Amino acid sequence: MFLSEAERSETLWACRFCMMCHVADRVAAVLRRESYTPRGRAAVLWALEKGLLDWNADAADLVYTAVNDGLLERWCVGKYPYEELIVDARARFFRRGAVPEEIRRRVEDLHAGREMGPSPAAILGDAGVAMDPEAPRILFAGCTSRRRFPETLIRLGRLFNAAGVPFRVLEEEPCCGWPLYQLGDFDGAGAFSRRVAQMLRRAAAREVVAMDADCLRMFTTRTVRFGGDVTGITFRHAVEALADWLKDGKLVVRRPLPGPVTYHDPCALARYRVTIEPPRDILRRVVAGEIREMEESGGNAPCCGAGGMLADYKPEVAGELAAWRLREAAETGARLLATACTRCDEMFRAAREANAALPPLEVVNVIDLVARAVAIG
Amino acid sequence: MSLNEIFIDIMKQLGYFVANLSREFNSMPTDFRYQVIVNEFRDALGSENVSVRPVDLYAYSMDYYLAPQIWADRGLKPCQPDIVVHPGSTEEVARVVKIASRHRLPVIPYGGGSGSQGGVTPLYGGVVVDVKRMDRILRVDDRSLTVTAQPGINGQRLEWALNRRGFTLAHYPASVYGATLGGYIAARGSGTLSTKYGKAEDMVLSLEVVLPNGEVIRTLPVPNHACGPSLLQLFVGSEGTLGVITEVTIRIEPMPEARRFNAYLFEDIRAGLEAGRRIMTRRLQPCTLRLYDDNSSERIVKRVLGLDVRGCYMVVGADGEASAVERTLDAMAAICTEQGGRELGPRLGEHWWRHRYDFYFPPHNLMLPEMSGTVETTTTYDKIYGIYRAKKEAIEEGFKEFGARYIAHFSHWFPWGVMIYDRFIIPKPPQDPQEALELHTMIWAKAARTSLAHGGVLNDHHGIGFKLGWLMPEQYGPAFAVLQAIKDALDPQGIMNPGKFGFARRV
Repeated sequence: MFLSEAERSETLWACRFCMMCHVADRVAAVLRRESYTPRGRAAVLWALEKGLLDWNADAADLVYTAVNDGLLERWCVGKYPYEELIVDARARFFRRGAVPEEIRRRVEDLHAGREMGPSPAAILGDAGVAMDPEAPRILFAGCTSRRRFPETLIRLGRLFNAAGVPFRVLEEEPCCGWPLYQLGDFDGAGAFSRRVAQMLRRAAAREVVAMDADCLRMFTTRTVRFGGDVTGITFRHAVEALADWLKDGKLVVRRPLPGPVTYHDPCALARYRVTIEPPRDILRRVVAGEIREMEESGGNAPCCGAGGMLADYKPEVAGELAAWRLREAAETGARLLATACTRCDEMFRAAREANAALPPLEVVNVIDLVARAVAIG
Repeated sequence: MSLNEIFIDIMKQLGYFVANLSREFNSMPTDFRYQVIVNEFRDALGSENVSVRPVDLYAYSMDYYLAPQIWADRGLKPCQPDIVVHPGSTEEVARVVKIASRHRLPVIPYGGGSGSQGGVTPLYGGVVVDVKRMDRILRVDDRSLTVTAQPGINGQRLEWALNRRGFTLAHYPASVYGATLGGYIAARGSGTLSTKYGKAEDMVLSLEVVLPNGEVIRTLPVPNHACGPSLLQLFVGSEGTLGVITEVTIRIEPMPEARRFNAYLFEDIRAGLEAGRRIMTRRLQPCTLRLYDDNSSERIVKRVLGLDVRGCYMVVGADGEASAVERTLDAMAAICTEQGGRELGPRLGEHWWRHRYDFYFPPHNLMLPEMSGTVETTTTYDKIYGIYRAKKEAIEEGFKEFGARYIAHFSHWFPWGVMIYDRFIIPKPPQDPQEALELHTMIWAKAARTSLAHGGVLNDHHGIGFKLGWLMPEQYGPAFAVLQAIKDALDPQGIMNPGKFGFARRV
């Protein structure tokens, strides 16, 4: 468990009767039901502890219907780790075998390696991206990139090449364990964490550049606690690397892009890692037009809907969150919405495809923008 | 039935429900009549908008009222509804109420669940009508400066939406992050700027209401007229006992050009009160005028804001056109210093404004394991100090053996008087829930009766609910029969939020 008993007890104590963060919880705003508010969930968890309710799929439904995006903790004056409380609760449901059927199936899929997509080695190799088998730098693609955005992965590989930065990928890239952790399968998440750490060590990795912000959060905050030894390896996100290469002149902008552009901060980057400036640095260099901020941005940016695996469990709720964010992006007058997370990218595209009434805003990964601006893809 | 008997009756019924709830509910799903009623609601609203899941029934048993919190804290099941419904329109609310009326089922309207008086506690089960799906802004009239919205809209979301158009509701209650517009009206709420902009009852223009028989009515389009008694004000503060509010038209304000604050420290609460009285009777129109007594300054201001002050902290604020703001602040400064107030400077006033909601977040708010209650009252200037002294003594001396503490601030000022927001704190309440609640009730009774005896009213802006309902006949005297007669005429079956407001139970 990631919360000590004392932290868990104190958080439950604080949240079970408090509604001061309700306005910050967009899931609650979409569902508009007391049970799905932060207080409602905490009150039910308390009642489970006291034996007033049963540990069943109905109760589990409340804690799986959450984005765990860190915004509630940020909003809270007392800084109670509400998101950790929810993940902790998921693990308790999981251990009791009391999770909803959709969650059980998703966990099975993850263990079986279904929906991982082709291996990054194959994607990049087939595209002719040059990789150095001796390089101490590993590009970790993540399953969303592999499955949904192989072209973006290829562009990132080409940007490595263009910048003259040698890299390679793991021959068989495993899941980082993040989805299992979020779904409450801590044993599974632990096994994946240890496995990926072992593979990185065997590969003599000194640096890992993650394309998926959630993978990065897993590596930097959870892998070690799950028993994965990543001593001596530094981790950073692709946008952090790209920002440096543009600044250092390793990448040169040849075709500045027209604006206005707005940027959606992924929670795993902006809130959990405070990577707020690097993507903006990139945009300022590659976009000739205006960069317009949404009202809630940086550390205050709300989740796109993908957080907490909500998109897997309640895609319709996650879709409403994505649509909400798309409308906010459109209110800035931007023609293009940039993001640095493949999951956000996936959410926004899916929401736009599902709802023709949403603003016709182009959604682009920052990696793709850089590739366009430096004219490599 | 005497007042005491009414109270005992309610408490007995409550005790009965607490003791027997699980048996009652365990038998419910097999009850055919219950299934029929649930199916009727599903037919009316769609299955997805009707819930009988135990987790939902439990979640709707909670608000800020101490009783369900104590029950939950001590491992007891609180009073729960039998059904929760989520209507999305006035028509759907009307359908729900008609079904409930036909089955004589209690109807408990539910907004943000931010009340502290037991207003949404389903004492006798029934159907909770959660209006949060009704959260649309219907019209913003930027010529007349009004907004019309559905009752379930979250207070802060409404405020943000208005801000984007250059307006403000100017209603900033501590509950703004969770409370709803309908709740503001149903409980006659107030906020940190109410001294200038008024309480909810002063701001509202008109309402749409679903009556207990399912009929939909509208009050007159404007509140000021000479067309008889105010039907509007009948429903304002009625806490769901006379109908369900389904639409609200309320005044808005332009965003002020400037809003500034200053802070003062008074050695003596009387000096601060006199400064406040002079500010108000000179009609200076501060937006904020808030005076903390020394206990409150120590317990709340110092701990939450980190302001190391000894004495009675006062924050004053003014907003509007910049030049007028300056003049108001200067005039208030002259009055405060004349009354012995030491100016702490704008920084300490602005600091309070920026952190004004911090007081209500854990761990700063008053919550279990401490037992507390806000026993606020309002009275005229000539009586306020007397009430303050009398209540302080009544609580601190009367409940000395429990280590009772009394803290107070004066935060909503009127042209004729002021509200005292006073609270008792019992650091270590009895572990036994019944004993704890008995003590809670005793302190409330003492505080409320002290307020009444000294010319105050039972409550300023939290409402009556179940907690204070039993004292309403005592407060109103023979006039309470008028309210009861209105209730009986509108709701002869007594289905609307039964057990609240002191109304006799019919259902």
